Amino acid sequence: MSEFIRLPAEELYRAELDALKKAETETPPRGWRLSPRSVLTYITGGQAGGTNITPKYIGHTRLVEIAIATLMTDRALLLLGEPGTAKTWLSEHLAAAVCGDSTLLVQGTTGTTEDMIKYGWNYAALIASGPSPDALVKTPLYRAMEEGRIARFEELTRCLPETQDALVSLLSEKCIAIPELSAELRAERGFSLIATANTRDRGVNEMSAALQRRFNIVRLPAPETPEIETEIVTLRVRQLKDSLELPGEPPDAAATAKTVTILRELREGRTLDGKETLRSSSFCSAAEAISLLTGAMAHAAGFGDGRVTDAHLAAGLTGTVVKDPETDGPLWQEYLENVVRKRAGWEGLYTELMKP
Amino acid sequence: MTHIFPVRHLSPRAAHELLAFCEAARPGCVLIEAPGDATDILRALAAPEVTPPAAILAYTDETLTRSFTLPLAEYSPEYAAVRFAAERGIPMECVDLPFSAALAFPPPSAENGGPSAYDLCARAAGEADFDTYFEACFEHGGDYRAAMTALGETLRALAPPDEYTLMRERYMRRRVRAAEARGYPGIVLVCGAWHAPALDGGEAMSDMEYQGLPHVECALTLIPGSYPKLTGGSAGNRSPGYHELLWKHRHDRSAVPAAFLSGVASHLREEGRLEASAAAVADAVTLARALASMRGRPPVLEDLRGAAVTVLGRGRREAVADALRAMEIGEKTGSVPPALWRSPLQDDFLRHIRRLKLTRFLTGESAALALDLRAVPGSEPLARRRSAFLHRLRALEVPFAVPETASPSRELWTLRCTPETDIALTEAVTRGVTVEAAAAAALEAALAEAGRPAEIAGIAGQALRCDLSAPFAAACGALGGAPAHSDDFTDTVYAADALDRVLQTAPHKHEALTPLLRRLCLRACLALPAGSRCGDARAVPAAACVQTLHRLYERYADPEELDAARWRGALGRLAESTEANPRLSGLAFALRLERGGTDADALAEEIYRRLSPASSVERAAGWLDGLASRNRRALLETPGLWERLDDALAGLDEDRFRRALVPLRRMFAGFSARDRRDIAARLAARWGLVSGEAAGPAELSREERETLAELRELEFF
Repeated sequence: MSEFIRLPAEELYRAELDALKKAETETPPRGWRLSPRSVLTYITGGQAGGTNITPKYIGHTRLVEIAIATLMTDRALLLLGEPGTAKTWLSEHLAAAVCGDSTLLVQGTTGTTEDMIKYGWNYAALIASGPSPDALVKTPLYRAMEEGRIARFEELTRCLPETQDALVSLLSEKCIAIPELSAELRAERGFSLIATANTRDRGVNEMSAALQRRFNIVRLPAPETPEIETEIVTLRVRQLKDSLELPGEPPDAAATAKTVTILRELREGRTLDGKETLRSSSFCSAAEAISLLTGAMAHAAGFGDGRVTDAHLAAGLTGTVVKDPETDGPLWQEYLENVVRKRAGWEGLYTELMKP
Repeated sequence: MTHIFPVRHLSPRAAHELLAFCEAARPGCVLIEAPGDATDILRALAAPEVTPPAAILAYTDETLTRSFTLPLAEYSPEYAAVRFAAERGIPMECVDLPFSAALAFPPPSAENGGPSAYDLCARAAGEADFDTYFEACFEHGGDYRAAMTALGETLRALAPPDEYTLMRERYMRRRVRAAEARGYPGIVLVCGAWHAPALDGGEAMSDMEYQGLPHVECALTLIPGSYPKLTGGSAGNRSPGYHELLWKHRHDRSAVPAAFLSGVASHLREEGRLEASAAAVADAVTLARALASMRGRPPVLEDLRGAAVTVLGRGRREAVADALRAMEIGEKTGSVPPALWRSPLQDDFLRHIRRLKLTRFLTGESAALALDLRAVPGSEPLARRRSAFLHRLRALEVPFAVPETASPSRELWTLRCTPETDIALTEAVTRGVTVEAAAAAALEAALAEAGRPAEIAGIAGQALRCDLSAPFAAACGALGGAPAHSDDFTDTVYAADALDRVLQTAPHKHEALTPLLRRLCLRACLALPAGSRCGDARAVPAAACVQTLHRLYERYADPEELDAARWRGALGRLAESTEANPRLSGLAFALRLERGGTDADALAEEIYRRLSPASSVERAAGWLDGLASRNRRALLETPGLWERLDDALAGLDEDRFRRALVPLRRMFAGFSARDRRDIAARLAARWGLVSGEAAGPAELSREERETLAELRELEFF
């Protein structure tokens, strides 16, 4: 066990990546370590030689194919989605599989400037001996272009639009101009960029049209089936319980099922059996189900007897679902009356939710 | 020498390869796997006046009409074979079991769960569905005939044929042997890949079996088809527009991705999405090729779709859905000259006319028909069936009958048969081959277009009158999920009202409709707070809706049906609300007063509050307007009201009294002169005055008259 909280993907799954390389039958594109089909196997699971490859991203294989195919073209990849749809996770694993290095990462914030994207200067050296290649401070993007690897850009739309546009000519010409040195850096084969952006906070409409044209946009949806979602939620809640060292028991299958069902039905706009249509309100991802259940666990551990009951679930549900009282409030009330009230075994939850 | 050429129906490559094969083999006769009695009509299809898509329709003329449809498009191998035979002047024959026999057998049972042989084939190759698998393996290259034969053998091994199929094959072998016996230099047999391995040798149908084949009277006709219709049914083709593109580019298939994606982009540009540029199309083609190379094959439709969504739609499927549908399916309609066919819909129409004893209305003269719809226990009355039939024709927009009046128990229609009736029946066949099926399709199409709950409820009502259960169920389902938008409150109340009217005309549908009504009323209740915060212009329809909703809650007072407590709560909140439009608050207060939910004291307090300096004169006036709009008589009779009001007004100081004058005057303006005298009388009694003195305005003094004259000149209201 290492002393770090979390290792990068290429370290954690070194054995799997090596096995895939050994079992390789096709020639990878130039600059890639594995062929596209092997990358797909790495991400969606399968066999390589005798080694079992665990799936990293469950469901929606077609979207993973499109993402990998994009990296073969000259367009960059933008992974878009609501919070909690595994964009960063997928970006990390794609980079690890394609070029073996997922650490060439630029984190986007409102304070990101152009010299964090292209290149910066060591000001002491700059002032002492003037512009020279030694005084240049290379950004992760610079190094990715130099070495022909995949660069990652998280939360692209949180940067100011002017800063984002630094990427426009970079991506179309695959070249960084360094006027101070009268030089330019041309990208090696194998360079591409994976960006992620959140649709909730500031949407992709904030990106300039010119920049949008440089990306292939893949929208990652919520988990495909309730079973997959329940699996993901149960797993993560258990992991969180261990890492947060919460006493008491994890929520039982019924509590998890109720939470996942409610959030899923509201998201999709129909009941799980497809018989009734509902008006869907705010998007609640699997991540919110996880945090709801973790909160319920903490509530039960701190103030109850350690078992998660309907009261604990109800305490978190309304707050999670109703984000905007004007629009979400009536839809939540309707859902309670039309669906929750009539479901067998949910009477306790309904009573708790109707308490003011 | 008989050459068997296996094909897949509606496959462009099959047609292409078949033509090449026939050019080389130069047969003396062409045999096609199509029902034996369709030979003449198939030959008619090859005529230059007919443009595909078209379909051969066979139907029986009985109470329960059964029909078979055989769709054919420009790229059907059967069509290619027929054209080839016509051009070379060589005989062509259809060799499958005739329609007249096939219609006698029970329809094939629905798939009893589990994957079909086609699905298994696709999965074994790692493709999502059979269409993608077929396109990947067969449409783009390779030795077609060999590959198709192998496919046929695989399919047969995966799912051995049933008795019916074996009998058809025996029949086909008999016909093939008969053709061989006529000594043609060469014969090409065009059949489905499924049958190909079986028709090469094997036992032909015996004379005994042949004589024993059942026979059913049926009519055959050629009808124009359309690409959207081609997508339905088991013999159909899910993406006819795309297949036509494959056919157009049959000599150079690598051009298909660019052609398809350019078409999608061009549709997007027509929709106003100008960012679908040529550069974007080029990038999409690159992505499609990259996707396909991951699977080691040329790009297929699935790849093109993925590329279109990712590049042109920016990851959103909805953004390109319409454009994709236009390119994949398309709107193409075939044409068949009227001389060649008779719409089965006309036959069905006449059949119903005879059965419903309406033949006297076919003369062309206009005549009235009264229908008494009251239910007679124990029998299904003729009137009901006539009503449903006439409503169905109206849903189809066939001009024949116009309803003059309608009530739950009686309808009055005016019937007139004109040439337009015939024309409309002919055109409506693209929707369905019977009046019932076509009307259902028309209603379902209208449902797809409807957005607002009121429209959907209207369609539900129509479906009920037409006695069509499937569109009715669909409309009810759609009502549950209609999207939320700003006119929620009024729209939902209109829908509930429409539903209520439907319930009035069809009380037997009570159980099905009441839950829906309950949902709509619940939604209206929940939407009331937001809906009541509106301007004065919208307040008038909103007030009418509040009254309607109140009436509904009164009518269905049984707590099992509608939740009256919730409505009372909502009304109470509306009455006390300061954010809602004051007209609505006033109305809500009046409703509560009526119900006995509040008393004269509370009313007086409320009036005092509303007339306070904090609220504007306009708002006060609006509130009083709303209060008085409900039932002035009741207001009049409310005990102690005027006394309280008098007290309240007496307590106002000079300034506030002046401000209160305008809204008060407006309120009184709504009362009739007689009501005003009554009020004056009560107040007079209170003030201890003689009734005459408190009544009308006293004689005006001269200056008062002059001032009044000046004010009238100003004409301000």
